[in-house]
Amino acid sequence: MKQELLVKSSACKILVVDDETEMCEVLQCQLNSKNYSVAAVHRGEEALKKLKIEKFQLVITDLKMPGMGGLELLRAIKQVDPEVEVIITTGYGTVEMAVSAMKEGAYHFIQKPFVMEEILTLVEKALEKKELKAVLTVYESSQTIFSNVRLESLLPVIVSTACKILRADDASIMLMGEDGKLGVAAAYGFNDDKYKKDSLALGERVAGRVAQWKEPVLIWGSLAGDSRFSDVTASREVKSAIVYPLIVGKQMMGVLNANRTLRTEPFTNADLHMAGIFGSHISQAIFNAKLYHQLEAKNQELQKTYRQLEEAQERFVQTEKLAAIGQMAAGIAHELNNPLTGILGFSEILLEEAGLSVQQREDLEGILKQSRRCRDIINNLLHFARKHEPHKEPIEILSLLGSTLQLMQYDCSTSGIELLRELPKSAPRIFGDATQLQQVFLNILINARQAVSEKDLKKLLIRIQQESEDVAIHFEDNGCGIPRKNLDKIFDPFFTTKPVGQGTGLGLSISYGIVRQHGGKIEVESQEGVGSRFTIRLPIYVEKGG
Amino acid sequence: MVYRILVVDDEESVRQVLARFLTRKGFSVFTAGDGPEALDLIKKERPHLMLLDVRMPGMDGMQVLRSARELDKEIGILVATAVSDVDLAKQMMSLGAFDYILKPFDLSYLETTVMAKLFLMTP
Ligand SMILES: Nc1ncnc2c1ncn2[C@@H]1O[C@H](COP(=O)(O)OP(=O)(O)OP(=O)(O)O)[C@@H](O)[C@H]1O
Ligand SMILES: [Mg+2]
Repeated sequence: MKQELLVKSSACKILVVDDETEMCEVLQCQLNSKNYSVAAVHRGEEALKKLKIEKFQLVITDLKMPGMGGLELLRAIKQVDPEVEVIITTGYGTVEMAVSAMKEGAYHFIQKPFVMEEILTLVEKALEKKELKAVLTVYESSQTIFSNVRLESLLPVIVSTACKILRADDASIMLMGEDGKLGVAAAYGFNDDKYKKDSLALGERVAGRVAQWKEPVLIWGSLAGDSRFSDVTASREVKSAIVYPLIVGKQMMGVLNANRTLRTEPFTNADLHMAGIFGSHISQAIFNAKLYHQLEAKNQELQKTYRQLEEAQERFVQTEKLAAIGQMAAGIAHELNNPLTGILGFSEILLEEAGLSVQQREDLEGILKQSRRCRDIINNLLHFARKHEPHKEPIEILSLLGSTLQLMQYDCSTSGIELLRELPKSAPRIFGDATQLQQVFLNILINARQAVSEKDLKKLLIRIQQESEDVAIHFEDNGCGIPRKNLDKIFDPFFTTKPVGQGTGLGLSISYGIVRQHGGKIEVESQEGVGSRFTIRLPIYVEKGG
Repeated sequence: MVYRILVVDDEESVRQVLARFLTRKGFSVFTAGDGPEALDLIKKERPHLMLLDVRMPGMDGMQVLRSARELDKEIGILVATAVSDVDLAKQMMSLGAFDYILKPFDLSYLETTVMAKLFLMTP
């Protein structure tokens, strides 16, 4: 690095302040011979005036001068431009003076007469320290930059830091979009928003050319005066600009623009060098942020797939369970039906016999009644097992639900159940088998009716809600609720908590199968003692070609 | 005149109960436990009606129905089965069964069905 810094020494400007003309001349001559550009003044006030209009990297000042002295000048300089390094020379230094000079921020304090070698080394070191300090800020800012993994938060930090490090009045970053054009992604220091719309093709204007050439440019003064860009009309007045391409590997990611519009002194090669270090850092940071973004997207995708897989597996298990049970049930039902025919028949025959006692007749009727119940249960099972292909058609869900509720209406009013409806005026159609869906609604409604039977105030609320792709039908009751431990069992075939003879535990598993068959979902929320809500979601019917 | 009814079922309890019931109702009842036996009886006894099961070992109900139709164009065939299958029912009906009832059934229902058919068959 030292080598590079020395090469750039021509860009380093040194101001010598001494009331002795000879002293000024000696220093000027010596430093000039080392390729520094040197200016000299005789008074502190003069020096300060010059510093306000011109940029210097180093000031070498005498301590004792008429008017403004060296210490006073040092203080003033640090206020005007804290980055300027100051070396104080004096013919009669005391320890106290040296200490206070250092405290005020002087780089060094040396006593005259000094060996020329000594002061040259010192100058070199001071400038090197300055350069290192700047590089250090770059590295420090890198930490903040690299800690921002998201592009949205990273880019604003980059442009504001670029302004600080390069002492620019404004800076912007343009990123290569998917359309191959450069677009402004973040900006700092602009007072209007016009720039935001900038979208440049490769080779278009300054930024477009930098992106194409993949070479940084440093511009002094107007574009018209620059042979590379003389055909580009300036959109505003810029005193000096650095445009730096952001490249990682072979990938062109965008450009960093830094402009001086207020500051008079133009960017130097040293600034360009700094932009280079900074540029390579931010390129990497932007690259990382993009990777991070991709990674995040991939990760989300993965999670989604995983969830879908889990759901599918759950459905698969449930469907398999249903199918296995169904086959078994069908087999058993057939086996049972023949002996049942006998039981039913013989009791009927016996009942016709003359001379039966009242007791015998009652007993026989009992047998008959119970065998008929067996038959009903078996029929339920068979119904459940039957792989009957649904006849699907577009269905008005409102009227289907309406007619189902009508079936329940009478039953509800005689058992003191308040049947509430929250139905929209219209609802989208769904595609399905009306008979099957009605069976689902009935199963759920009958369950709800059974659930509220022990309550004093019995309520049943039916709501329809349109969602983005589904119609949701909610059935809410204020019944006994479902204990947490039962929640994942209620859709299993034969799971029932009802007394023998009142439930076969098939209602919900049949409903589950039907709803799945319709591409829908059936969900339950419940709190023990408070009530339950069953929600059926069915996909909205989309007419083909319409 | 006494109507003759043939009961075809592989399950003995079914044969028994149907025979007992129909005999009581004044029919002349024959029973067969499988297809060949049934076809024999059709040839020998010329029953008016046949109650036919579907699932049987050897010849099944469908085959029995076909052969019976060939032997006797007039015989009334009532399918009584535990197999509740829409397609099967349609097929049996198109092959000439006049009804298809599901086991287990109430005997009174069977009686009505049988009586109605015989009434229609009477010239
Ligand atoms: N609305 C509800 N409130 C409380 N518990 C319910 C409700 N709906 C269902 N359950 C519980 O889920 C179980 C299973 O319901 P499912 O409808 O499958 O069978 P069932 O009602 O017991 O019998 P079936 O419907 O065959 O007559 C019920 O026994 C009950 O414990
Ligand atoms: Mg139920």
